[in-house]
Amino acid sequence: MKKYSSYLLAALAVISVLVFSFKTENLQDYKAKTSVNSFDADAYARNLYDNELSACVEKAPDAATFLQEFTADKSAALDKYGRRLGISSTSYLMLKGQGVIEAVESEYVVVTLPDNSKVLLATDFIFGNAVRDGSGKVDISGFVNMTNFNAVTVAINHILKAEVVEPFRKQALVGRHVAFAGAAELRVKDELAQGLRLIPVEATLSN
Amino acid sequence: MLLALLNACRQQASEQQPGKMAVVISTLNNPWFVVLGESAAQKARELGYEAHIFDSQNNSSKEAEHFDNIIAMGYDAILFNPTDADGSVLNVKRAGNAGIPTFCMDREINSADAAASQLLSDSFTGCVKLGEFFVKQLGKKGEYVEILGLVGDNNTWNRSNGFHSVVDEFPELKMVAQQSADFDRNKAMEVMESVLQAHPSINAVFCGNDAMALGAYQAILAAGKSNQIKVFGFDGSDDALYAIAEGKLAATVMQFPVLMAEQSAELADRYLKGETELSRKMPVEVELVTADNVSDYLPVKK
Repeated sequence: MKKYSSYLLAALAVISVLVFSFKTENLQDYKAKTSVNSFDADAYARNLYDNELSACVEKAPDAATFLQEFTADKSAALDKYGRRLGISSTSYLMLKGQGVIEAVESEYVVVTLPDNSKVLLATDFIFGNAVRDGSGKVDISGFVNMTNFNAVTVAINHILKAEVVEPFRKQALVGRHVAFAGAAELRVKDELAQGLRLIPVEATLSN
Repeated sequence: MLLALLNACRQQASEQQPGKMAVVISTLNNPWFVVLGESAAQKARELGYEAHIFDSQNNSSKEAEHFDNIIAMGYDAILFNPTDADGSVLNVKRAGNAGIPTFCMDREINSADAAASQLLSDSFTGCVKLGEFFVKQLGKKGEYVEILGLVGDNNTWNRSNGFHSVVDEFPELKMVAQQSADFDRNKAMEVMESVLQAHPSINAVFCGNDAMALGAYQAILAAGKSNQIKVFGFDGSDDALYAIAEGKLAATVMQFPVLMAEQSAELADRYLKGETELSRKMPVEVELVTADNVSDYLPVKK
């Protein structure tokens, strides 16, 4: 009996060591705990939207002018107006203009510009770095890691979706005039058969 | 007088001998990192340096030992693929204090200024594009599983965050399980086998690299569900490209390890020749590869 008690105690000791040697943790909890997250991406993006994007819009080239230059010489137009980050063939740029809504599709609103060229103001799939990098206001060298840098993209896109895209989508009707500014993502190999897609930064309807 | 003589002798010796670059790689147990390491070493040799590869075996202690040796042996620069975004910072700082600049390749360390430069695959942006494709492939609804890489690696979370920055915006897409398989094909197969037991009706699996995607596909095939479940990977490995061409995988994101490795060696060379003001962080663009464009990538990858 004493022998069995010893075995039992030994087994309990081994099990205790095993149980307390391992710690299970939810992956999302691990991520939250270990990421360098003193950085407040929402506040950063809010400041970008409230205080800096309007200056970018003011300086943005006219969309119709850009499209004419892009049609004539894609590389030259992107070199002149676009920004690239790191080693990349993708350019990001801000454009502005005005036109008439020609169609309202499930993912974008088609706007015809005065010279009959077209832009597609996105109303779904508001993702990617077009606004962050097209603005020229967010410098990667100021970020401790890519996670924080990329969090700005997510946060600014959320703001734009809620405060620009959704109100615009709800009121966009064929025939209405719209003054817009938006960010584009383009490569030299891109063909703009349907029009140039922009993530709206401003969209003001009239008529 | 004696010191001046010694310095003159050392200078003469260093003029006669080529400089040395150390290539420290997180693991050589993965073909992708073998390509990264060998390409970096090859480029360093082409630039006139001696180059030696050190395998950290995904072990931060081993990585620290490599840095000790590299510092003691007087290398001129380190081309570095870290094991841990936080844990590796100290190694890079120790090398910096010893006058040896470090150039991170593909994987990031959590520091804005410890490394001379960091060339990083833009995993987040790649997975935004993959996420958009994923949403469209699934018609904006369904159940899916995510298999993560190493949880201590920033790339794991940059990929996951990029993917979720898109997919989480579609409420009818539900993630029913998220598990790590450490970027390992066999572990991913085991994870997928157990996930399929608990969630037999899933529609898709997103894996943080191609090795895991291929492992997951093996489990899915064995369960007879290859027509039901779409598999998405990341890396652009040759095996994954062939799997896309054969309809086994839905998509991957092509990284460019040779480009990153060669550019890192060139940056190190420029730095050693006096051009010390380099961009501290340089994302390297990646490309979404699907059945529509896989033929552009199958023959040659650089």
